[in-house]
Amino acid sequence: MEINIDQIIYWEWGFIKLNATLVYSWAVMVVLVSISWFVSRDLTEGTGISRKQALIESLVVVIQKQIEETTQEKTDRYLPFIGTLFLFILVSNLISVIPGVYPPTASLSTTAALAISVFVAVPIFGIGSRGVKSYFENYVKPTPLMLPFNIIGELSRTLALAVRLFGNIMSGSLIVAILLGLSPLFFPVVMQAFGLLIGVIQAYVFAILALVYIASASRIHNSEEADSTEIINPQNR
Amino acid sequence: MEINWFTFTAQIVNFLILIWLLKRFLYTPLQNVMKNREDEVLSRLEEARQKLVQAEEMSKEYREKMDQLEEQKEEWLEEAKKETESFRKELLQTARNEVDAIHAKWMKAIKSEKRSLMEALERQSVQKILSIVEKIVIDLSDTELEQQTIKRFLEKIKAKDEEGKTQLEKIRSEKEIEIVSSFPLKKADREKIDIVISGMFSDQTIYNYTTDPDLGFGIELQSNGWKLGWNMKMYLNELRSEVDTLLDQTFQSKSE
Repeated sequence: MEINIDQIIYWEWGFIKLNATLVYSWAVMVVLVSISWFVSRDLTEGTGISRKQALIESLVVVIQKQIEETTQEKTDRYLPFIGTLFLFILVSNLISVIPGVYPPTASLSTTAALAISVFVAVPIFGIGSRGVKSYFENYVKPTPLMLPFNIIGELSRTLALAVRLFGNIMSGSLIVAILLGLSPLFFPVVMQAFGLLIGVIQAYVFAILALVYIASASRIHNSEEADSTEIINPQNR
Repeated sequence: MEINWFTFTAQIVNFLILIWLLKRFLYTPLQNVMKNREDEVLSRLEEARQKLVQAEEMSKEYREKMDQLEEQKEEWLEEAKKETESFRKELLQTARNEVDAIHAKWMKAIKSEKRSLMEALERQSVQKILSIVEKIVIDLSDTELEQQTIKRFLEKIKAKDEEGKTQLEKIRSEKEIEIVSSFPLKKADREKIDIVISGMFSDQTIYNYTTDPDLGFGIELQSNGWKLGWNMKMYLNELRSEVDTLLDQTFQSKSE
């Protein structure tokens, strides 16, 4: 049992190593895009919509609602980024129940890549909606003394994002693997079910935290109040 | 527990590609579809709202019209009722007037009938009374009364002769004088009369004595359209003319 799935290499050419993480990431991508293409092929605007369209629509609407509730504003700006984040992590986590398949999120490279994406997306969205000056002023508020702490906060929460997801998923896989060795019947199944639950929760937590970071950086009005209320809720998971 | 930097970079790229793909195949088409549907629903709702408003306006308009009609109907009915009532009253009045006129006419006719009947009755009764009186007098007359009558006749002639000679002058020259009595004159009576009147007329005058029961009761001296004497008929005629005058006056005043 490999702890680091980056070490499972299927093909290698120079520094390019085609490991399990990349393969299963592509698999997840293919699944997501295929389903999207399959559904969006024949979308209808009328009232008589197909079941698959209803399913996908309700999924997207749920994500949109979640975004609206969290950001307290009606916008479609965050949907592609947050939605993709959530769907990718969710599917990645869920494929772990298939025997012999490794979830890409069990690799620290993947989770770090996602966390860095969030880290970069925060200033992009922030500057996009508030402007450069207003965005960077936020780091020296209420006093310039807070600047180092703010920067440390940014870095630490990015690290926390990456490690939290990696830890949860990797530990889930590891526990199942260990339990298989100890008692091959029943117990691993229960733990796998737990793993599914944790996978869904972690996808939700990751997406919501990313959204909170981005939204608080993009918020212009009553930003301090909003920050405090919004950051309270799922950060300590 | 280490990061493979190639994998790390590749995953970032993968993630960005996935964002683009999902945006291309999932979010944008779905959002468009949902947006269009929402717009359509909204437009339908708006349309329905407008139609509702329109319908409400129309219903209000119709209700107002109905109210107006109702009001007007009441008015018309009231007017028609009034007209009918006045027409009825008019008709009634006309009928009443006609009845009154007929009644009055009838009453007048009855009254005049009555009056004429009364008049005729009165006149007839007077006539009857007078004729009865006359008859009674004639029936009751006897020698005594005849003598009295002759005496009165002679006195009257004498009185006339003395006071009104001019009246007698006219007949003094008459050749023939008729002495008419209601009863037959005895010889002694005739002589008595002759003595009295012979002094008044010329000697050539002839005296004829006749009896005429139509004279009533009395004795008269008649000549060419002239007469002098005394009889009951004269009195009765006088009385009759007086009663007639009286009756005339009474009825005149009554009819007025």
